Amino acid sequence: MRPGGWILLIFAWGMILSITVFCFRKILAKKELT
Amino acid sequence: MARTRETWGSRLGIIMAVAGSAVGLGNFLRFPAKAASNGGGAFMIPYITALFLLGLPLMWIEWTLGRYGGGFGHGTAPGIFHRVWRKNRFIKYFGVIGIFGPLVIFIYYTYIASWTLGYSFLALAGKFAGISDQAGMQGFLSGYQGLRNNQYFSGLGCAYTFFLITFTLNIAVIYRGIKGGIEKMCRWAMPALFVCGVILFIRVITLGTPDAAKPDWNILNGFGFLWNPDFSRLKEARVWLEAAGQIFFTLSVGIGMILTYASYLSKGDDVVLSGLTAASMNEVAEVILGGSIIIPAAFVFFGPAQMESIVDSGTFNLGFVTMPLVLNHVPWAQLFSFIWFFLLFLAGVTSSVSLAQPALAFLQDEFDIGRDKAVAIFAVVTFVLCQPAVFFLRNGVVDELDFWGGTFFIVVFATIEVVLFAWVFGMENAWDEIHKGADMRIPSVYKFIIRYITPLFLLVILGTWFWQEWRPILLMARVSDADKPYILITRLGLFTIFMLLSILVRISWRRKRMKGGQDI
Repeated sequence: MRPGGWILLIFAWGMILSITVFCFRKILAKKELT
Repeated sequence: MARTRETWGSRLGIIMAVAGSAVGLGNFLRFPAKAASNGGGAFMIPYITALFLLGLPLMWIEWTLGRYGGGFGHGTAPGIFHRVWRKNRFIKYFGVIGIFGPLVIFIYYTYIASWTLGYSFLALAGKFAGISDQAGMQGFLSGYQGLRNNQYFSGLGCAYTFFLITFTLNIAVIYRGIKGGIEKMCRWAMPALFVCGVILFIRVITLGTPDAAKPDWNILNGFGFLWNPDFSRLKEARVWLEAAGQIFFTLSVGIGMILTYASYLSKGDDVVLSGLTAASMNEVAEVILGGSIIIPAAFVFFGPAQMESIVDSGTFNLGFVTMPLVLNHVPWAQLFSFIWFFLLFLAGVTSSVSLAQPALAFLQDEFDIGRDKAVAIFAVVTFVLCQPAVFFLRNGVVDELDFWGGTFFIVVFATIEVVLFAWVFGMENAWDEIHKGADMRIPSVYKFIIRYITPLFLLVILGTWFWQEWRPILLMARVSDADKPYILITRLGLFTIFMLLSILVRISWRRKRMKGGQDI
């Protein structure tokens, strides 16, 4: 895989995982998940 | 007296249900194929742009409109649209698309989801374990679909049995209601789906270089095939449209299901954070899991020369021909094939139950029919409507249903929603409504995006489609002469369904008016 591929993969995965973790942390902090 | 509407049992329940509705076969089959054939990693630039400018705004709009309509006892678009634009007596008929679309998708999607259940069992039984080439696996699929009799299948018996099981399972889940059926199923099905996805992800990334004689056919180059960017493709309008289309399909926006699911929320329930959470779960399933399984694995075993034809072979071939062949090369092939097809089945069934809900909600909310009776009516009608998809697959009926229900009307419906929300409801009202009970604020730039950018984006997609496609589609230029009668009858059938739903809306509103209801 070329460097450009790595950069785009890390950017896309990083952004998606960050948003997901952010959302679940916020919901869990409110103790409203279940 | 109006009956009490159901509600979700927990916040996790609705997030899982909306994510389950969004995560479908397309996450694992359509997305990797689209990315690989539209610039690789460069495709992610229009894809993420469309996610932020189109997907997330529409997601928030549907959650908000759904919760708003649910507060007035409406769980489907005709009632919700009428509530938003009360002075316009025609707007409720545009809302019919929000019942028609999911109904049309349900009648073919259930059948396709049943293939994945069938293949799960056939994988465990080792029925295709000995097949080692594309032609053999293609023959197995054609035999299963009843397109030809061969050494594997004669007739549709096997496929029809699994269709009946899948259809019955769908009906059983929706019969148990929102909390006891859909929520309960999605709360175990979605974690199970992610477990299956992670198992396959680990299996693929540990493939290494299976054939030492071909050192370039390795897993890193497999990821490179999908992610190495070809930025020159970004100059093509088609790539941007493909990315926007993928965002539509993947988030299940513009169909009407999210409106209905959100209508079972209470007035003070958050929609901003819940909507974002469901969307981000879908993206994890699509970009991280979906992008890491089929294309890299196929590259490792088939090599770069064959990848172009594999990617262009279509989503069904990717899922039902290429992937089983790939898994036949690894140890524990039957188990991994089972996990692959069961993953697709979970993705399919969590989506198909959501497709059923708008029609049910329409019967319950607008005709005050009990759930048992509504489910019985739905089961009988959709069972009959499913038959052409099963028996006339070879004549292009499923493709035709997919075009109208799953492509064209989605964009039309989304355009109506965003215009209603931003321009009729009014952006200030809309902004206040979105943030009722919200656990986070949406950046205020989204006021501008929802008002101008999202509708413009949608109008460009619609305009481009009309410019490029209306003539060949309407004149059936790409349909063989032998199939034209089937396509014509399918179109007439769809028109009839649309008109019948419109008549039902008219009857319902007339009945309410005669009863002196407040909500007319």
